[in-house]
This record gives sequence, C-alpha cells and structure tokens, in this order.
Amino acid sequence: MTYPLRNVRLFESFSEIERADLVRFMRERKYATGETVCAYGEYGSTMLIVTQGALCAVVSGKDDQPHEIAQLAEGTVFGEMFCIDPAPRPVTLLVSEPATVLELGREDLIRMRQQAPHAAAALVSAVFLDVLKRLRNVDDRIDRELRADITWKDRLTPAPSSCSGLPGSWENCFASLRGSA
Amino acid sequence: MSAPGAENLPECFRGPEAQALLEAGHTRSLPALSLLCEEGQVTDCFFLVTAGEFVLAKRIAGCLHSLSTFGPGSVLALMPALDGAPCAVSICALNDATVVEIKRSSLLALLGHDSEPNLWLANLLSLLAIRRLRGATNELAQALYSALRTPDCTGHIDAVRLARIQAGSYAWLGS
Repeated sequence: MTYPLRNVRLFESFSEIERADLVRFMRERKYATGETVCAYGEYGSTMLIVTQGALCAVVSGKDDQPHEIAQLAEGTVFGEMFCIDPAPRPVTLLVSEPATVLELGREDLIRMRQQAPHAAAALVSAVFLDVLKRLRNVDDRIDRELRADITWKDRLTPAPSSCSGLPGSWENCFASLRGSA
Repeated sequence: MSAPGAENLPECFRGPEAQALLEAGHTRSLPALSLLCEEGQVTDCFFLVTAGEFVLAKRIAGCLHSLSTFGPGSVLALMPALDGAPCAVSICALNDATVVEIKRSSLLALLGHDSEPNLWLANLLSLLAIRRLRGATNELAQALYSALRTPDCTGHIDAVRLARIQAGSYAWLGS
C-alpha cells in the first residue's frame, strides 16, 4: 500500500521500494470529527501523514479561543522533524473531517535504520533537505526585512558612531570583537 | 587517520562514523584575517573548524557589523554549500585557524550511501538543521513581535538583531 505516499512532495524522490518500506514501518490511525490528534505543547515524536479526510491546526488566541491557522488535507505531512528530533508540538491538530493518518515515530525510524536502511536514509536526507529549504526561506525573509530596514535607517537617521559595526574595515570589526573578549 | 586538530572537535565528531566526513575533505590552514567566504559569494564547500576562531559579519547600511564568533567544532556555510544560494554573511578567521573543507559533491556522495556511518551523518546534520530552524523561527518571531510593540508603532526592526539570527544559519555548533 504505497499509493498514499505517491503524491506527497516530501517523498517525490523515493523509489517505489523505499515508499513501500516506509509504509511498512508506519501505523495507521483513524479519527472521528472533533477528535484531537495532538495537543499544543505536548511532547511529540511522530511524523503524521493525512491519507484521508482533513485535519485543522489551531492555536489559542489571547481570548483563549482556538484559532484555525491551517487546513491539513489529504497528502499533507505534519511534524516530519519530530521523528528525528522530538519536541513540544507547536499547534493542536483537530479532526475536521473523519480522517485516516499514517504515523511514524522515532522508535519506528530507529527500527527502520536497522531493517530498511535505504528507506531510512532516503527519509532522513529528504527531511534534511526540506529543513534546509525552510531555513533558506527564513534567511530570505530576513534579507527582505533588512532591505526595508536599511531604507528607513538611511533616510531618517545616520548610523550612530557608537554602533558596534564601524564604517569600513575588517580591522575595525575585529577590534570591536577583541575589545569585548 | 584524523584531520589535524580533530581532537578539538566535539564528541559527536570524534567517533569512527565522523571519520568518513573528515576524510572526505581536506585540511586548510588559514592565517588570521583570511576570508573564508564573502557576503554575496556562492560556494560549493562547507567547513568544519578544527582550530582557531571565525567571525561572522555583515554589511548593514555601510557598516560592517560583527555578529558572532565560532570556534572548533563549528560547521560553517553548510546551507549555502548545499543550496547554491549566495552567502548572506562574510566568514573570516579571527586568528590563525584550521578547517576541514568539504565539497558539496563529497557530502552528497556520502549521504547517498545507506551505510550505518552515513545514516549517522545524515541524522546528525538533520538534527543540527532542525534545531537551527526552530531557533531561527523563534528568534525571528520574537524580533517581529518586539517590533510590533515599539512605543512609536513604527514597526522598526533592529537590523543587527535580524542579521545575528541570519548568521546563526551559517554556523552550526557541532556539540
């Protein structure tokens, strides 16, 4: 049963055998509408793939009311980082339509490394490259913010002379570092 | 066969599994003030620091700002080496330093084999990347939130604070 993974972007580069191996180590869970799949702040160590139905990601607002921030439709992967590095969940996942979810836990990944190393390597590498892409998105976002920030600074106020980055050279840059060491 | 200075690396780079990575690269000695990677430069190499210190800096509004320093055990410029996009910061040796320089193609060749050492390496790099991503998104969210709360409501964001977050994605600590 590899069809649920065929259209999932994260597994695009996987061979049919790797997809089949991955599915072999996953557990299928069924949820009814309104059920909680995972709760905000709860320690999570599993990756989830929605294979049927839909989930929604919610966070609590200032008013303590749940606010939906995303819909997770069929084919959506959630928490792929958690099976490599468990951590508290950043959102609550609720079931908005009766759903079937495939789950891969950290322990499953460890077993997979021993019993299906090729699929495990493909998964870890895919997650790694995906994380790098997201890190680059953060980097690009910061660049955009900085470009806007520079325009404001340049137009309104000259850089103060006491700023840690002195105009000019690397030597000044080092001097400020060595001074503070 | 260990790279010179390999004994200075953190625990995770001392096991036999890490040797494959060290052996895939070559050792480079750099005198103080040598530029390892310049802002805007595209690189296909990343670096594992075995001795000395490096400073990460960025030009903001004409000022060169030193953002952070990193020593032995740090993995430098892995993100730009793998995705081929230009470096957003410059990386320069603060004092005499030694690095193991590893090409993107060498790393990808290692990751392409499913041996236990390479799985270990993929797992280690993923862990470092995941932790950095979580750190960077948290720090960015806090910076943006602080900007929204400025008394004058200008939404002004501290450029150096942002650049420091950015620098964190170019130097990962191996420990």
